[in-house]
Amino acid sequence: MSQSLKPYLSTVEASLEACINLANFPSQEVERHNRPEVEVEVARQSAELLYQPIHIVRNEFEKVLIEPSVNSLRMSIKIKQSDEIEKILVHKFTNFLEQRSDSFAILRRKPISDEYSISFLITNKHTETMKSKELVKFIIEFMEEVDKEISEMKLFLNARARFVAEQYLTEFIY
Amino acid sequence: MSIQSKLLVNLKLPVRSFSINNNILALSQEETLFIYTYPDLQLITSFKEHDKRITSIDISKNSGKILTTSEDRTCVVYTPNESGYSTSLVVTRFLKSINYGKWNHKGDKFLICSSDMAQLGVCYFDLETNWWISKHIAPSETTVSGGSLTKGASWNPENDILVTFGDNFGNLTTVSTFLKKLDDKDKLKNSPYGEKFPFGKIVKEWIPNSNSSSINDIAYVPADTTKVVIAQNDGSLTLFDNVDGTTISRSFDKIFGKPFNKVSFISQTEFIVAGYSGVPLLYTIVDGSSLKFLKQLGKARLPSSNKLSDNKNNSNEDEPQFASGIQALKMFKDMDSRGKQQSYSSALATVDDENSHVMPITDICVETDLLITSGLDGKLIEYTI
Repeated sequence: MSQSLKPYLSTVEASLEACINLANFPSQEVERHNRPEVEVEVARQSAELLYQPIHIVRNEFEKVLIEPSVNSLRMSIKIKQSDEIEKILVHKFTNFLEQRSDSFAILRRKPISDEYSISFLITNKHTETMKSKELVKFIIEFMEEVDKEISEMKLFLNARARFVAEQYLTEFIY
Repeated sequence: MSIQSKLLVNLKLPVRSFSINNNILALSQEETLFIYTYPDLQLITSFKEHDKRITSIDISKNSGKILTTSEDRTCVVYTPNESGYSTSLVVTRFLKSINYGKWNHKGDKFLICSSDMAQLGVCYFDLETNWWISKHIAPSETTVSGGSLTKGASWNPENDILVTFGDNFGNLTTVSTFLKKLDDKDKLKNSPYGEKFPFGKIVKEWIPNSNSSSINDIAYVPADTTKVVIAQNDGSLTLFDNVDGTTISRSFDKIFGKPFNKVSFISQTEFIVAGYSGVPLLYTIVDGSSLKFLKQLGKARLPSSNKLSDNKNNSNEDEPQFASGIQALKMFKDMDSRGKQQSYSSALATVDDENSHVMPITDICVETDLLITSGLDGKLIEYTI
């Protein structure tokens, strides 16, 4: 992990640790329902069940938004995308994961807005079956690896493009 | 001083609530109530009276009656008889989940907390109609309250009539549950809480620490019932003067920094708190004016030592960059590019101590010198205090 990334990730980790104390909370609006309060539509939300959201911004390309509530926590990440290629790669990559969010358990099917690349939704059902420490660790590792992954893909893509271009252009050498 | 903890029961599903009294242990697994003998842990019987998750269980010390509350909006009272238990349904008239129920010390009425209408329910058995009756108490209209009672409520141990409860807005309300048929007026004589206590009267109303952080649990200080100890969701413990409405002392758990779910007194001044850290802590009140941390019960959870990234043997030699990668990401990559299905290796899982909770503690019970805790990990653990 690079030295400049470390404080960013440790801030995210500490904030997640503080927010992940989720409890079972049967809905107080609808009888016999038990739903993640953070996902309830705005008009029907109860203010006291939603806690203060946390913004953590590293720079204009990278930021995190954590929205805690009594029984669920939503975390959105903006993955670094400094040029057009990275934008496409991030889009493809997050799309790939989101389509398989069933197997990912805590991954949200869509990011909360266009501002963010990917969102996680952790509910009390998850913290009841998985250790919350490990969940936080997983997200931090994801954040750590995803930048690496994207830049690797970018390099690979560039190398392939160069190779293809070379192969194509050799036709014209005479 | 040796710290001892012992695994009592290990079930697969989360134990949300349990209660031990008169050598009976009652615990729930989602909708089912199990009744065991204690300390032999022989299963006596099990009940499935509710069709939704059971939220709390309480056994009355005097009568041995068991009370369960559930997300299906009902409560059930199990009365012991020669052949086992007879059940009776309590129609609470609440339309939302009942989050918490507690017998009074005498065992003739109980309180219930529901998130419906921000009202507290008081239930008692009416001999004339042969039916459990539920009466509601609403807090005053001036308080900001959208109807968000949490699980915390406590009977005043001195008179068994006053009830203090908290809600998600951080309101602390004390009300009177005086019932002519059941209660004795003399008990309230010279009460520091006032003169007259008709049913449903709001005796005190405060917002402790003025921070609107939701209140998880409340316990009266047995030595001085004008004071209460409050556990709030911001992780604080407050010694609060319930008559004057002032904070006497406030303390945070410095080791884990996680909020507490339960507060329970074991003596006149000593109490146990437990919650999201999974480790029960013993506190004491010094001179009625400050909270002091005494000790931690059970072993501390060790930070998990073998990280996912330590495991390099499992990854393929030809793709060394995955050695430090995320397992899930790698799994998807493998599935995607190679059509390979790889199962999560159990060797990667961290090994936990059997005799400590790995998940938040949901309920605590004190039985003579022993403390028993239940956790979301399905364990019941016994500690020597």
